[in-house]
Amino acid sequence: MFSKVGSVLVIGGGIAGIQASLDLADSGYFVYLIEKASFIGGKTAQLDKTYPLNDCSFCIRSDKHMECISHTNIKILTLSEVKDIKGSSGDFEATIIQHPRYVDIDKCTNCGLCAERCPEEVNDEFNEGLGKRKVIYLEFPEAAPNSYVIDRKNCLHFTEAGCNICKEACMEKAIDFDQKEQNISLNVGSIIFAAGFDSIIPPYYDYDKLPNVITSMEFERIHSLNGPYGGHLVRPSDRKEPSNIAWLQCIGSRDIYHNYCSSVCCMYAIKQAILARRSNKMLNATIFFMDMRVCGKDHERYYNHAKNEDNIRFVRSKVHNVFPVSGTDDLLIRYADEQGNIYEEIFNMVVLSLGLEPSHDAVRLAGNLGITLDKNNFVETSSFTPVNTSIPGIYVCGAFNAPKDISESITEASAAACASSLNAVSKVALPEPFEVTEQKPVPAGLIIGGGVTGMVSGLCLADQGYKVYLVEKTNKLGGHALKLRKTFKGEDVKSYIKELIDKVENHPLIDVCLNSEVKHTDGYAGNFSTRIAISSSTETKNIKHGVTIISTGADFLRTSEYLYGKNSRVLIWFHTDKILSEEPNTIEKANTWVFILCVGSREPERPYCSKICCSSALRNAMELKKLNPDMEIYVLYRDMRTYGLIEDLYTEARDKGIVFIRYKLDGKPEVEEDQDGKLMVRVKDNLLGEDLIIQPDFVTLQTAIVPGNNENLAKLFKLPVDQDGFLKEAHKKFKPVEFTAKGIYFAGLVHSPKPIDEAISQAQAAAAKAVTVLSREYISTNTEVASIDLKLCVACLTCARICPAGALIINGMGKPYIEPQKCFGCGICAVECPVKAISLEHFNNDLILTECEAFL
Amino acid sequence: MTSDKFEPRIMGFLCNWCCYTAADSAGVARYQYPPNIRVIRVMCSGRVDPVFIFEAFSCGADGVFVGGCHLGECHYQLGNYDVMLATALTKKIMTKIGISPERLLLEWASAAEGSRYVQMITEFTNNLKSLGPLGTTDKVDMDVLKVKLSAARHSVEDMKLRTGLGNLTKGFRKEGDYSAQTIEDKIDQKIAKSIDSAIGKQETLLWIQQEGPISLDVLTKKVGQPTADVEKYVSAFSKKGLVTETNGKLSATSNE
Repeated sequence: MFSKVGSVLVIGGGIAGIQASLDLADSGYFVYLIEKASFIGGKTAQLDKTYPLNDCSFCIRSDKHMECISHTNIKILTLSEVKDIKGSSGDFEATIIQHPRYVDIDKCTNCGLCAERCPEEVNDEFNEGLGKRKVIYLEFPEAAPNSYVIDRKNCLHFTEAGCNICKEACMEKAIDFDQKEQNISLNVGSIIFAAGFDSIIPPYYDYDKLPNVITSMEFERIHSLNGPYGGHLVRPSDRKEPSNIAWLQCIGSRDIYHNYCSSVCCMYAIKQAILARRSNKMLNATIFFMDMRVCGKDHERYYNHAKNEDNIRFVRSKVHNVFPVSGTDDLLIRYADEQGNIYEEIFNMVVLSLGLEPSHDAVRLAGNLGITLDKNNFVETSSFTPVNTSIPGIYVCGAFNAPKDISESITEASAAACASSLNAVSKVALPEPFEVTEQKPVPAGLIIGGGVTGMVSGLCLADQGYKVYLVEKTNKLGGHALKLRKTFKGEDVKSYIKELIDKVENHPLIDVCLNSEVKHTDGYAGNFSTRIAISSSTETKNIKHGVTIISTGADFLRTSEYLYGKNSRVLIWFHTDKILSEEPNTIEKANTWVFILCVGSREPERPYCSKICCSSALRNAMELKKLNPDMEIYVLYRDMRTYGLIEDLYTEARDKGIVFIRYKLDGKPEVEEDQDGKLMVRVKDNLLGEDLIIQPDFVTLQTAIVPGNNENLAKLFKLPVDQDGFLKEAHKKFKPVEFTAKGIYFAGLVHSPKPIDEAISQAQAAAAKAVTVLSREYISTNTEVASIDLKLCVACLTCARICPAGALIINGMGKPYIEPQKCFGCGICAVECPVKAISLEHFNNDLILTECEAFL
Repeated sequence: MTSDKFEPRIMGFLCNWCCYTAADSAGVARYQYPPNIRVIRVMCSGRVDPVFIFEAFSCGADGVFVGGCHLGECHYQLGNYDVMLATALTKKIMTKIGISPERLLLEWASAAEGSRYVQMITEFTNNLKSLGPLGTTDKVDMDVLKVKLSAARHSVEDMKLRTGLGNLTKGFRKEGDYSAQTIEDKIDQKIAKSIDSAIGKQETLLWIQQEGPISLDVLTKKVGQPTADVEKYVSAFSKKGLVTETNGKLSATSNE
């Protein structure tokens, strides 16, 4: 049964593992998904709502779980652990231990009688120990696989008298105490580590002694409708509603043991505070933080909203102690503000925003296999191959790679699926949906934008045997990355790009179209037709392709602030890169250098973080310091957003004597020049409360990343644009590189500002999604499709205007036509049609009206 | 005492992605809740046509529940916003024909919110119990109500009214302000007239068909709209040959 050579082993059934499995399975690979818990879903399953939409997203999540469970190309092994892996890329031999569930999944009907009768109660780990569960239990009602499990450690059958109560209660005879541990040997072509993270067990703030000091995950469970308190926000000690809650940030992050930022805590603390305020409007919510690191898409806006509209209080301070208040269950927090004034405040409950540690089991396994880990035990990867481990054929995604949130994990999971599929040799048949067209998908991809992202996507597709058309509007490949020198990890970008361009230009399946632009596009997933115009000629070219990937990138802000454009010593970030590579003399002669961060970012007209400026400034500052150790370097910043593993760079920079001065939006630094053109920077030092005057040789401005001309692109491809002008994905959390329209994907900076490693993993993710369309034998359609009775249609075109799928096109007669491949089957058009000319297959009016009659 | 025993019949239209799954979750979690609801699954709450709602009432439902995804979570982006307009329109018509708009409930529940679904259905059922069977507490005679419901059912198939709803949807999508007040105002502004005339027309015809020969006076009273309007409807039907007048009394043409 388990002998499919060349399939893929995915270790970890959290959201990343699930996504990687689905993408692989949908592209025709067989997947073994190994999960140590009794259910798939991982930590995400424990979360209540997700940022920045505050939606529970359970609908999409449970969809993914169910798809994974029922997919013919995925074999899920729960309660399983990987014991050992031998062999090499293309031919690994993995030994798996599967622990007994003692309940037959196929027989269990989930009636719950066993748990009702079970005499033994223990703490419920799924609810972080806040509630109780029986020894035979279902972790949560929607758990997948949806079957009970016996916790052997506590089961009376094993510990004492051989209790058989549950077995007798079970009417389906599903309980089998004789199940034994199984050793399973799997032969696979490649392996994906999606092992995720473990929360840091807090030795902090008397967490173990004070019941109302809780962890962030405990808060998630308390606030969950299916949690221990039924979704009522009460504190554990007396089950009373708290009226003020404090969140303490960076617990187990950015300290001496964890020299990294956990990336997600700022956002989830804001989310929790918003949710808490929603359930109790009178509640005071305070977040104590060091730097507010909200750098993802729409995160800054979320933070601003929390601050200005949700009335959440943000205090910049690291809290040192939490004391019990005698006679009550309340807690006293003593903290110092930036000026060093000490305050004391009493809170009803304190939430510790716990950081992420790489999964302890996975660290052990990876260590045994000889996978290189970094000093914090995350898997070491290069920025250019963000999902490749040090061992060929073994890939990594999700929080085991570096701390990251759900959407980034999902992106990486798809990227890992894409990368690993090149090693998996055997393909299996794809289950075809009931209704397929006769048409085969065109085995080609159109990629718009020839930057790093576009090239990576192109290579991924071409390496899997698909024809690629790479359209670039300028006269060369490479995009803005050509201006970059090094990544935050210090890797050389220039040689990487050179190599990449070489590969692309010499790939027999890649057709590079320079100086070209898309003029018109039409069609649906599997069968697009696009007209491309080559500038400076009237020539156009028609391309047939099955998928489209948009990677047109972004632009940088041409600012007029801080004397830029007036004084030649005021530079933009990439000028600094250029000086670093070409003008060592200039650096040697410079005594003082100032970096100004957030130029044009995080301002009212551009309320988002450009994400790369902090790390790029620090990287360049460090390089300058290395070349000229006597140089004084000042970094003027608003929040130091060295998220994730970039934190290391920040620590290093401080060690090297680089001076960091925080400024506020209403107290921006001022740059002036004297008659000789010498620069003077004036900035208010918040610690001293005084103006500081610096006379630098150079000022580098870290200017914002701004969206390109996405409006045009959006119109051409009928895609949504977000408030900041970047393209908008189908779902922020769970579908980060997809649009609602099938067959079109996007990656890179056209999505939002991001560093090169994240752009590359998005590029791979988009390619993985594209392959799920291209690898189908036939183009599939939904079964629920709307159609128009043209005899009734009066051509008011209301339907065409409101269709969310853009499936309605107007034919030559001025009448609408629904493209079945595009139609989602929502039926909104049928409601809006004034003459009821539209009917929806399987949900037509007559059917529903008959149902009405029959039911009542 | 009889009202205690009254078990309302509820027709539920639940969207495939969220509310239907919530109902499923409620079942899986074995929550107990009143068995009064019969569920029809639709792909999107935006699929719920006012026609369905009136059909349900015509078939004897005491209440109709429409359940979708939370706002912003629609799988089709805006379907649940669209249904807000459709139900607002429906409630308007319900009020006009004398049915309490409380008998129609539009709510959201995500797939994980089984308990929320249970709470909504329990509350709605209790609310309907206190309202009593359709017609009784609405103080409408059952025979009259039948005609009015039938008129309402046909009026929402009226092309002019549906065009109004379509335009309203387009307008709201552009403006993006879906507050209850705005919806109320816009419906009053843009389609209140179409509602009146659509119902008026339908009722006129139905009353003539049912009660004819009938005098204009009696007819006007039954329809409950100004005489001039009713006259207008009658003359339109006369032109189409659906209604004839003999001795000052109106009757329907038999072959229609």
